[in-house]
Amino acid sequence: MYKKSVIILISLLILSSLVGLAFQSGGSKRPRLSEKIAIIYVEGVIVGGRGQSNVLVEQGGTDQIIKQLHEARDDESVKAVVLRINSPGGSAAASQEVGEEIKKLRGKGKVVVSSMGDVAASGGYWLAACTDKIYANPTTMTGSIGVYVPYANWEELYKKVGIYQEKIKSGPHKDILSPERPMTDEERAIIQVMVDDIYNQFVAVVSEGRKMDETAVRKLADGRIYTGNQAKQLGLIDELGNMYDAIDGAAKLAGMSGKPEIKEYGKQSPWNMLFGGSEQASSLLEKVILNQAKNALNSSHVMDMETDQWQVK
Amino acid sequence: MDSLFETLYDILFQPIIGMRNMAKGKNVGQALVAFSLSILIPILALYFGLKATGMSTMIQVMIVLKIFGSVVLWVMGAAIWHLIAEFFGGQGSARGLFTALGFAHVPRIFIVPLWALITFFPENSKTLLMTIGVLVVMLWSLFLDVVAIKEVYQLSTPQAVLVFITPLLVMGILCVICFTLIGSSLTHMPMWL
Repeated sequence: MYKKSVIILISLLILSSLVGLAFQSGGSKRPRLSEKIAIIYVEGVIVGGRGQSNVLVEQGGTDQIIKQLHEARDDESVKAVVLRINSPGGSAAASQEVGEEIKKLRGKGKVVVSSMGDVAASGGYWLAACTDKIYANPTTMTGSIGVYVPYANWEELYKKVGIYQEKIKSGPHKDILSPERPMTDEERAIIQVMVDDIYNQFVAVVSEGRKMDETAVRKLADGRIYTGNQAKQLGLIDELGNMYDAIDGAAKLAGMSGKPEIKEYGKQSPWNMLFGGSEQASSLLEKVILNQAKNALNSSHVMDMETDQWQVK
Repeated sequence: MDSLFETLYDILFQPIIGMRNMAKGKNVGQALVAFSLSILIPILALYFGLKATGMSTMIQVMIVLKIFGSVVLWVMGAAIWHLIAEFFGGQGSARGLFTALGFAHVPRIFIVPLWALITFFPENSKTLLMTIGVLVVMLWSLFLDVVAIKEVYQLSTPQAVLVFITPLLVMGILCVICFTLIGSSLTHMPMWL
């Protein structure tokens, strides 16, 4: 009987503690709506779609970035957004899609500031050009304003391994950029027109975003990369500084006083930490190489830079 | 056969007698109830606690990890410790150990009143107090694990401790080997400025 009484007493103690904790958790909802600065990360090669997704995690792909931009736009407490870019570029269409979303966000009256990490080149710079202000480290690799369409001719290799591919096509250019035959002059001209068109759009975005004359942009936009220091002198970025300088700058532009509250979007979820990979500098390089290899096979319109131009050996 | 109340009392306040009875009785049903309560009650507290601190994204993961980890530890622990105990000359059944280990989780329910009590303390001392409290509960639970092994297999205390720590030692050694191998493979990574 004594033992039973003790256990019942303990059970009551535990039950009352649980009820107390339940009330405490219900009553501690934060009603305040303080002004926040959102941080959205753009990391790795910019590719359209959902990126890698499985039951537990979803990462990469511009759909996620666009979703986060939408959330920041709809969140009344978010007064400014810092776009933390660490990307060597990617698909033109994906970059354009995100760039347009940034413009819409600015159209809603929210300040958008870019903070460049290790590298924010090509498509990464496209996004930055769409923001109100750009911060970069003096050693950040940026620029690479240009477009290319990769093409590999594997005809000789196919011959050596005895592969002969035949295509029945609806039009003469349906198999343009096919790797098993040389490109014709006519096809080269078609692709060049496309590259020029995308390049002109890129130049227009930079010109509009940076409030620079198109001719001046074209002079800088020969595909080369610049250090953050050079980019500052050339007017491609506004300030030298790290992410926290960008946060302070965003707060200032948004007219926020005091220390701003930070809201990180796309922060690694616990599932991601457990089952997903993190974006390390070395894997960034691997992704660039992988992307180039993929492009050689699939031939999509890609803005990119050569890694040996900026990698320190 | 003792009622669940009496068994719980014995496990908490007379662990040697309690575990001895468990080893004889092998009442898996009671062990299952005790195990479920000792997992679900702290999980509820964890849920309320994480909700209160605004760590809503952590809730699902913590709950899944807690349930999964505890069940694995119970089932695998019973199997592995049974093998090791027999290897060290212990005489007992895996079912007896499984039952006794189910009760070894019971002290975890005290995390709940502890958590509730700590909410009345100043903010800066809460973490320290909670850490100390959880550590005490965990040590209590580990002590019950050792007592369970000792009583089920009729081993001496040093032998029971050795049986208990053997899997941990093996895991530790494996980890050291793995980290050494990983570390040596990372040395050729490209250098970045």
